[in-house]
Amino acid sequence: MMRAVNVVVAAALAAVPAACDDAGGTGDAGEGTPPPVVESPAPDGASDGTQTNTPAPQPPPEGGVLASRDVQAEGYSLTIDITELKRQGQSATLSFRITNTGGGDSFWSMYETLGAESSDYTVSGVVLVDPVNAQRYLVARSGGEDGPCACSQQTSDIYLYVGDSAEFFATYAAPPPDVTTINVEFPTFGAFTDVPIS
Amino acid sequence: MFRSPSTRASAAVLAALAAVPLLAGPAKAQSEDAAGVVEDLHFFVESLDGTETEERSETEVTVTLTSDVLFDVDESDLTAEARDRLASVAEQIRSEGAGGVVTIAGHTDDQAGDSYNQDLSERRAESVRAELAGQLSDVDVSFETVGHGETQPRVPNIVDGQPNDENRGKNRRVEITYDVQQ
Repeated sequence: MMRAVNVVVAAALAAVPAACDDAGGTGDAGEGTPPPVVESPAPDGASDGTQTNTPAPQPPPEGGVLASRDVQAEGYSLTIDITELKRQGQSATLSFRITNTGGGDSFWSMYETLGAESSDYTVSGVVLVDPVNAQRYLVARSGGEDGPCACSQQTSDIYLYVGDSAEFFATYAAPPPDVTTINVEFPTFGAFTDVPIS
Repeated sequence: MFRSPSTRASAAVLAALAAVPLLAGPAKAQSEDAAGVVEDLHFFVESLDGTETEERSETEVTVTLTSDVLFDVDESDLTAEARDRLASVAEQIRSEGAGGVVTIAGHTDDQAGDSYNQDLSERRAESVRAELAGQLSDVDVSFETVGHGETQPRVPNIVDGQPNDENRGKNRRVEITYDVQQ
């Protein structure tokens, strides 16, 4: 299968935080984009996850939430908000937000949770499924099957304390015009059905 | 600055990027994609049953059909279902193809010997060519076939030391590539 359930994350979190450096430093050195922006409601100087040298590549959400779900991950309560699914010419771009709403004892580390395979520190495991036409849309990639995804990368740098959220995006082929809703499937977080395409 | 737990990992990433300029390529393409300037983006759509995959770029489309829907085991004669499947591929080529060369590539899994698989992949590519050529006789395209035997698996045939039936099924395939109108 393309998706691997992440069993490494829980083990890494159970260990001392120093273990994060090793786990986070492998497998993602080849990814060229900065990680998604981490938003904190009360910046305290020690948890400013915003990179200042390069802009994050995701399109800005235009307000509103199309679908929302609360999930549990490694003891943390997370809220997944789909903020946009927009058709633009031959592509369609999904935007979503993950918020740590509580639980756990420190911060939720994203690692490869939404990757397409192990050691994939991107959100390329998120797919669109059109059950009517029995089609699955995989994340677009530059240059071919083995190229970098057109999606948020360096998720190994995403650490969410309670109240923090981060924005992500992924780009797919646009479904046919007569397809107006589609399912969005996340590794480990389940499926959102009938998400409207704008 | 970076969140403290990730400082070292991020620094390692940045150091790696600085040390290998080639890696800046994907970053640039990524930024352009986000800005709507798509130059080399490939889109992937597959059927839920996994028997058909389509990879589409600005210039060409590759339709991959698993051999299990085209042929019986060890056979190179098309099944009845194969003709239906290839009819829809022919229709795609007719409606959006840019003419030129349609390439048909046969692949097998790792079962049986190399030379047997090489021959089987060539014969299967030829069967697909004959069918498509018949259906597209009124279209200005030519065909090239190639057999790769078991030399180009999409996914590993052996996983954790064990033969993997699902992956083998993905590796048994025929790929049809054609240019699209721009």
